[in-house]
Amino acid sequence: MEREKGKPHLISSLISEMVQIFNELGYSVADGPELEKEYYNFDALNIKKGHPSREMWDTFWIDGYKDSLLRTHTSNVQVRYMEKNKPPIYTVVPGKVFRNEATDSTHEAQFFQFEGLCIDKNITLADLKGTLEYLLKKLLGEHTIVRFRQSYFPFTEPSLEVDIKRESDKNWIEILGCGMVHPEVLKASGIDPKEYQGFAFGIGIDRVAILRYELDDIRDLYKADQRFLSQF
Amino acid sequence: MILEIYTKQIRDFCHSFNMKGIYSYNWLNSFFDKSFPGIDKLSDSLNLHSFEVEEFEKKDNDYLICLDILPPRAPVCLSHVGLAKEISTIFNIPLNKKYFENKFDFSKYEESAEVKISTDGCDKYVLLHIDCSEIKDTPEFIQKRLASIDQKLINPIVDISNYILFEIGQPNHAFDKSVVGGIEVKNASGGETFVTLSDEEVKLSKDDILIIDSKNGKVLGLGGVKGGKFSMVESGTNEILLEVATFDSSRIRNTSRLTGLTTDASIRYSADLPLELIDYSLFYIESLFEELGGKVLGATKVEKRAPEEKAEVVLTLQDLEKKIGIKYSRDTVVEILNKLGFNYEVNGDEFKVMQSNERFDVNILEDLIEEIVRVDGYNNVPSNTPKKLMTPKILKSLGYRFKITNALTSIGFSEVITYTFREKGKLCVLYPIAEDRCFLREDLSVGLKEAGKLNSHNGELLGLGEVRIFEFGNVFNKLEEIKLGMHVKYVEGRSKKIDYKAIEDKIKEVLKIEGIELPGGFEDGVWEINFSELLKELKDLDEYKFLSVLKDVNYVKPSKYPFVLRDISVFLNSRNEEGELIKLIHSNSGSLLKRINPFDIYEKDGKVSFAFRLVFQSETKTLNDEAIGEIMSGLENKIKEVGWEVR
Repeated sequence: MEREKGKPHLISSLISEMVQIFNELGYSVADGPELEKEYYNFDALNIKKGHPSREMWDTFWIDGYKDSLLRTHTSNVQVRYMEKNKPPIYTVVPGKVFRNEATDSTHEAQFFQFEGLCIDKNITLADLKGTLEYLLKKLLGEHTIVRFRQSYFPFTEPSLEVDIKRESDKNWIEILGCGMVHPEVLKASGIDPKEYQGFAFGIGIDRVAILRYELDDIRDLYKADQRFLSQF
Repeated sequence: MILEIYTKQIRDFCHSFNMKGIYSYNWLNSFFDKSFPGIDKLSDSLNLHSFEVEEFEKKDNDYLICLDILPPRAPVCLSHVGLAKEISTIFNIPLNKKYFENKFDFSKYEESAEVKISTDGCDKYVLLHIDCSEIKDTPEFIQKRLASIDQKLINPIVDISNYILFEIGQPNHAFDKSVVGGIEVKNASGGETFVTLSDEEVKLSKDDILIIDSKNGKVLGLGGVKGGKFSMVESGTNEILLEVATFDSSRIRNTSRLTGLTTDASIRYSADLPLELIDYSLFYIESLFEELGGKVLGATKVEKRAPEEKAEVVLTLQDLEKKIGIKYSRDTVVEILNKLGFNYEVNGDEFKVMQSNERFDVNILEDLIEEIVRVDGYNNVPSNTPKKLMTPKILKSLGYRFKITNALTSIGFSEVITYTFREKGKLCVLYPIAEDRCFLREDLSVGLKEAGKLNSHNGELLGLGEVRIFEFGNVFNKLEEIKLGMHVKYVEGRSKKIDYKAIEDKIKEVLKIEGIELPGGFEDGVWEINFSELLKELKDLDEYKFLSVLKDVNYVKPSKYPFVLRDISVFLNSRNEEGELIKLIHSNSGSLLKRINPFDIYEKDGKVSFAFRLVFQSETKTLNDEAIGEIMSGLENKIKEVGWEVR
């Protein structure tokens, strides 16, 4: 029997696709640890002690190591990158992240995120809008409509959320969070916010997969079941 | 139903810590004399400029609106007045009354009762002594307002207390003065039981805050959450002590989580209610009670720290343009600051802005920039097409990961992603999601073997000759490292003999082309490599060889019903007839046939025997032997008709 070709995991294929989009725009990929110190996951991102996400309920803290946890976003890598590199910074970070949540068809304890960071002398909100519209049209189709609205994150100010509507969608669908990097975050990593500014965004790769392929259960992505995986 | 959203904890990537607020459209409308927007316009604009509208629902001649309030805005906007102010800003329509402009004057009153704070979980506690003997019934307008947001009527004083909370966002609690000597706010000891005024029994922990009678130590309430039965107010209570306070947000969040008690008060305290707002709330409360026939007789306050001075923020038009990417005119900024109700001085292009009395979330230039841009609208900001301004560096680990993926998939390996959490390991997490998901994996092989078993079982359905899978993943030993794991397993029902050496050679062959040499080999079906170490040996890359993407996939959920296997062997005259046989099987087995998997070929007496394993499965039910038996008989007959021999 002629051996059929195997396939990459659909998350890997999406990572490849998104890295390619940003590679063409000059963004480098950065990588970093999944097991992280709380400073890089919270403090350096202006997520102060007392913020709900730092509590034991939503984050996987490591038993016996009081300041270690499994990262809740790939922003830890961005912080580490900013500490070691001077602007201009154009980076993207795909990676596995962890949230201590009850799992169901739309929530898993581990999933994949894709974050971007762009810091230079004159990067503006208009640049953020343009970059994200470009990304979303490439990912979901040229006729995708994109909408930006008010939100809040401790690490950006202004903070926005982005919704999309494809031709087949009746309602707006929330797809990612973004904003202009908060001056405290720049300062914490040794970058002078008076000299440099820029934007950051984060998108759930699983969410893109669910939207693009009309999946009905996020948990299917991690069961290693080829009845599911071989379709992509 | 909208109130189910209110009580359900909806957790989502962006929204985990937002607070849900419920509002009555008519109640909001009552703050304005003219041109209040229709529900659709209201909802659309709030969505874009302020808060996400979760849902709105028609209720008699009103609408119930559920909003996701952003955490820094919660102290003010989890209230009808607060949201009305936001609506006033966005739609540029004036409120018909002033709120949060005047502070309560403590000098008018004697002390109400003794108040002690012996916890660091309470920064400000005010106790008003109010004579309510003239308040016989819940006022009509309060009844209407509470009903509009589905709040039950209890008794006049409790109804007024609830009304205050939903109108201005200040949680408050009334104690029957005749049974309370004084108040002490202290930490619980941990382990004691508390019974709420609705008869819920909860166990306390040492981080919980208790309100006790300072004279006799009797427990009166769980601070920031709910009162106890003993001092609760009933119809006919003539004099009350009204608590107006603020509590530490993390402590209240914890208490709420551990006891399982979530109340409208605890939600607001969890959002961090600044003590600076209390004196404005007190002014409103004093006016309201007096309007309703009550009389404030005394007031005691204990403040652990002084109110913070409000910061002045300086903004120039250049700052705005630099951050946002378009010019905002002086007039536009003036208009928006007026809509926001901020006090300011303008000098040329420079604005010196004082916050309004409630906006403690606007402290730095960027906060003010956000206010201006969001009120003006993010739609007014252009979208700059991105340009390539740098040459990207190639991340070695990703570059080689793509290369190895392409090489392995070309020889039949498929990628899996398994769980980081396992039953055994060195490191474990606090509060795991399941008992068998406590530890961080130390290797990939356990997960790969599990995956191998699952896919081996489904191997025929998948048409696999063997299960060949691989994974790239982080593992946790002394150090965190990236590993590459490959696993080969027989398909259930097929030969268990796998030629691992041949597969190893094939793998080495395809990787050699990419300049990659893998150490080691298969052990017990798994070949695991330290990818982090391997990378140190490999040279840098100057480009990526990206993976290809399938865009047009029609995902079909795999059937949950078991598949059935039937073997069939046929003697053909020559190998050339194989295609014909397969076509015949396809056309005569119905839609339940999912796969025709070759099993065996051999030659005998000038004929060739082809054996196939047929896979049947239904999307709607478990197949029974009879049904399949019928299909097989029919098929065998058709084969014989053509002149072939069925073995």
